[in-house]
Amino acid sequence: MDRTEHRRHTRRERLRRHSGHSNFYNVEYDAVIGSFEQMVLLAVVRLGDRAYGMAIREEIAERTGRQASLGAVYATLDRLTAKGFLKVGSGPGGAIRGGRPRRFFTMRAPGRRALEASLESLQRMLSGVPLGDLRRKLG
Amino acid sequence: MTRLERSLIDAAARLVPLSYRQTFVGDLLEQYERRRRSAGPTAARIALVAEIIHSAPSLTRWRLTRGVVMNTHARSQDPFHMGRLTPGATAGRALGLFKSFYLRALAVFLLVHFPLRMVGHFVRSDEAIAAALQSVALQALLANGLLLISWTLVEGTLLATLVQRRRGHEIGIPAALKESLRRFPTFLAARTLFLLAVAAGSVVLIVPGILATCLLMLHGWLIFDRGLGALAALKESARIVKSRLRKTLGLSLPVAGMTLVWVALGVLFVAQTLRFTAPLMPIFKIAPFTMTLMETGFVLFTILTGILYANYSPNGSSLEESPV
Repeated sequence: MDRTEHRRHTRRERLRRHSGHSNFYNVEYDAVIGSFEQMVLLAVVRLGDRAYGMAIREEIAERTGRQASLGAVYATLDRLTAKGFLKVGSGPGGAIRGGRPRRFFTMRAPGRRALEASLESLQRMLSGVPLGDLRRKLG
Repeated sequence: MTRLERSLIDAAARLVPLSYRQTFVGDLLEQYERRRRSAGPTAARIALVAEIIHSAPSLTRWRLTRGVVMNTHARSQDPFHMGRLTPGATAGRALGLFKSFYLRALAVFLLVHFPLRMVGHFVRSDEAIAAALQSVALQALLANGLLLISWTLVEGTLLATLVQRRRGHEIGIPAALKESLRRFPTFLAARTLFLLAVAAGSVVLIVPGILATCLLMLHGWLIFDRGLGALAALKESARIVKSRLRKTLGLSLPVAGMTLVWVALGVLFVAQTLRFTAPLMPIFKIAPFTMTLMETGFVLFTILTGILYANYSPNGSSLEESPV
């Protein structure tokens, strides 16, 4: 194993260990994120320290009109955590939730990098495409 | 909420991996409650059913890719979870966890308990303070109050660490202490009520005291794991243990015995240490330290409550026993 490969391997291992998962998801693809994952990550950034499942779902619905189910949001959050993009913390639940805790998500550096890379590649794909008004709107 | 809705939530929750179950159900309940307040119970009910139906495909997919494995995996990762609860196996697991956790517990005791114990000991033995307070009872109350505060802080710190360990995370002593301080008022209130109940039970006869201890002993875990309030945690603890009271008594006996042996060894150690050191230095300087060593024995009992909590409601989920 040469040095670069070793570094990549240890980084992956560190991510795996940090996420607290064994390799349920293919962490090889840690830099590739889908459109819904993009939305979820952006919602987490927007909400800051108030990002938990329901708030993220509402943020996406409010900004994009997409009515994602709570199950889809949680499955995505779990996948992003396994990839090492999000950090999980827990907060108090309160009477409204029957005392059940909230699980707050915050962005980690690899998540920020992956989101930036994903948005940049979208920008690059858009540049030079004659979409007229649509392109201007997407900016 | 009707029985049908509870059953629906229960069914949906079973599709969610254990580590997310409580949070998911919490979100559903929060959404239901908000909708009920803003649009009425019928609208809330319809929204809840729609949400569960809408979530079912994603949850099933999630469960298939992760949940089925995760269920067993989460349990196997949880050091408190056991396949079969027998008194011998429970005692063995408690002792194993105690061994792996002892140095951390000792560090917490020395950092948090030792200073407050020193102050308590000083308050109790100092003549100037006795003269200032002009009441032996007040002096004892002050010293014991300090001990109770110290003990609650220490146990909170240990519980915060163990709760995170159950979730597969390790946190340092400062972070655990911070969490303990955050939940301190709730835990202190619950602990005071618990002690009052146990004391009242023990005054009447020994047996009601033991029963009260068994019924209410999961309150710390419920506060630190599920974020419940003092009264809610005591009630929930009683609810969880009530149907398994005899089993709990059986499982607790060996660990209680081990705790007593540890404390007895501690007493011998204290006595021996004092015999040699008392002529050389004042007792109050050495006694808190030696007693701190002795008191770490009670960590065994905290670990036992953790084992019972983890096995009676895996990953803190009460859904295993009853609907939401």
